Amino acid sequence: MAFCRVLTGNQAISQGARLCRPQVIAIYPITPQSEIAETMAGFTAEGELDARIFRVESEHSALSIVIGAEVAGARAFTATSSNGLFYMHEMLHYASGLRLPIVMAVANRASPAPWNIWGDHSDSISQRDTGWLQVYVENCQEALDTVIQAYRIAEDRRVSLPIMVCLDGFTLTHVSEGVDIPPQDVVDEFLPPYDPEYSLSKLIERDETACFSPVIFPETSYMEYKYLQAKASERSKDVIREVDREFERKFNRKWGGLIENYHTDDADYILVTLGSLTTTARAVVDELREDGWSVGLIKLRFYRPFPEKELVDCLQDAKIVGVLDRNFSYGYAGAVYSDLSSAIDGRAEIVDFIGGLGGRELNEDHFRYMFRRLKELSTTRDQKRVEWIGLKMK
Amino acid sequence: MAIETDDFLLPGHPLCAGCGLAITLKHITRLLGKRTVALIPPSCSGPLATENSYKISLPGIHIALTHGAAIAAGIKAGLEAKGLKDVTVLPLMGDGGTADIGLQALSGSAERNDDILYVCLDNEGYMNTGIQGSASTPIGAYTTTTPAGRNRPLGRDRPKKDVFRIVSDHDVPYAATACISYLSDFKRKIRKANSTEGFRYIHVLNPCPTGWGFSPDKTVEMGLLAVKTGMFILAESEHGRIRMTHVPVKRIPVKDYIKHQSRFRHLKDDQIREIQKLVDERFERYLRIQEREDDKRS
Ligand SMILES: Cc1ncc(C[n+]2csc(CCOP(=O)(O)OP(=O)(O)O)c2C)c(N)n1
Ligand code: SF4
Repeated sequence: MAFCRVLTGNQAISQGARLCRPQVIAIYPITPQSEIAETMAGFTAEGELDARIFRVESEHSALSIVIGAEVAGARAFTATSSNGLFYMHEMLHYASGLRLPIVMAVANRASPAPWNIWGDHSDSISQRDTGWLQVYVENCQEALDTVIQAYRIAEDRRVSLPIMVCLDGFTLTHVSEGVDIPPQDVVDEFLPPYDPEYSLSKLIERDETACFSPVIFPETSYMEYKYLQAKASERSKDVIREVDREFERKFNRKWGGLIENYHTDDADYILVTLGSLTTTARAVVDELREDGWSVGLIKLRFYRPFPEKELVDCLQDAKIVGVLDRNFSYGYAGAVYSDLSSAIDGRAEIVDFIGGLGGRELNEDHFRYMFRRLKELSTTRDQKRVEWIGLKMK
Repeated sequence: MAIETDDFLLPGHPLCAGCGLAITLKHITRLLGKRTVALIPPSCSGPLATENSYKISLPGIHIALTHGAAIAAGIKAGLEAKGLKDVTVLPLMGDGGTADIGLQALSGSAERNDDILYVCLDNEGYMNTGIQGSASTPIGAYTTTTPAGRNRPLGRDRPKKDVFRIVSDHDVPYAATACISYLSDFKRKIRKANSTEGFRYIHVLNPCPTGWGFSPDKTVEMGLLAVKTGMFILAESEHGRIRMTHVPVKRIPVKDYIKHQSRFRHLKDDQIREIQKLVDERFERYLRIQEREDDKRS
């Protein structure tokens, strides 16, 4: 039976993970993720989840254990944030190169130094090129649902890639909302047991020998492996759309697949956001539309794969597009802006708003300001393309 | 390819002539048998696991330098989750991957008492990458990153890190040092490790003609001399209780070991005397540990 509970974002992620029946779990605590480590430990202690859970000495080992479990053929789960994610960096490439459908929650947090435990997207965004799919969720319900979707997408044999489910530190990890917890039997129907084509356990059962991820030379097949990995990331777009549709049929909720657009059809000024701030932006869009402005909003759910086609379809008729980047690629601009600019390829004007770094507040006023700036900038030519929002210095 | 042979290190492997590692791997895999997963890190064993030439006829995986014990623990847990309870997971780490960059993962795993058989293949340096120094390189040895010079006349100027004792102090069910030059001791320890549950650690000294600079026909002799001089101590421990498994009746001078190896060529007599002193002290420390344990037992 489905039932509704008040859960924090971290608890929602944990409930989602529990419903997916991971067999091996290894999580190293870090604010604002620690509650996931604690909740999963509680589930296994109480027998609500039959999984082997490791108390690890580091994130590097956490991901290594999860990689080992998945190579053996078991479903595994982990979670981290910021410094922990950076500490995993070597293993991130390992997981995607081995084509392991690991699901990892990332409680988004700034990247020290200076030391800061509050939210922005610089941790996961800076891991963009590690081969992981990345999805950003807006609220606690989406957090829970997306974990379930993520295992389906990752384990689809057309994909076989790891996924980060990213949720904003504090503004989502520590915010409580009413969340519908779907019944286990329906989740079981939606997500069958993990059955990879190749695994160490299959080799052993078949009494065969082979070596996973052997040393590969320049002129044999390294590039071909990487090409197949690139193809799979591209193919994941179809799977993400399919899984969202099927999820809706089973659970009566949908999240838009790659992106969710809001009043973009007739909008002149469109803002692109990721994660929990979308809720604030949406409220401001409603308000401004009541005032007669033609504004719209896109929630970028998946940053990798990058939904180039969907974005171009929605944005090419806009007068101007703003991107809210809670990250910065030093020496250039925000990462989402850069990717979007290359996708749009001059078909619309784009402005980059850098904001919310290290948990700096972004409220309705800031969003009103961003829409106002879009309107102003749409009539001038030689604008500055990157603007920092809410900066307390000149 | 189905397994057809009882020998798990296949012919035609690319290890150097006279490599101690080859002898060690042959014996370990033979003793453990085919319900074993081999984990091969970047190291001298790495070339055994290349795309078109996998020379270990066991299910395997080429892993990273940093995480031998952790990924092994994950594989073990994954196999158990799939109902395979009787498989030995065997990380075959070098001394660099053990004493240096993999030590944290090793400690984490030993502390958890993960059910794996961790083997450190100690050739006393980062050999496959060009004979660089590791924490397991003995004092006085030349390596490409511990060259002897006016400002550092010893070459490597710190004693070998004792990973066996570090691991033993995690109260693991079984840990041992071994060397193929003492084959029956070596085999007994592998069998003992194989029949023990939980975290098992075997630290094997593999004389390395290329990195140490001795003639490839002297591999077994180098192992014998390492033990007879006390440069390498054969010991084992159960739940932290250490005991020496071979105490040379009369230790021979360190000089008789190092004179065969070009890595020690730069050492002067007074430096060799200093090293002799350190080796004596360490040996006596082991004897004292042994006495304490004997007292506890009696
Ligand atoms: C994180 C990381 N840093 C550096 C390397 C480069 N590297 C590969 S093997 C190796 C040394 C291995 O030495 P050891 O473990 O003693 O094995 P041996 O070559 O002596 O058998 C190094 C430094 C690496 N693979 N990974
Ligand atoms: S360098 Fe030494 S350990 Fe490595 S293969 Fe050659 S002899 Fe063996």
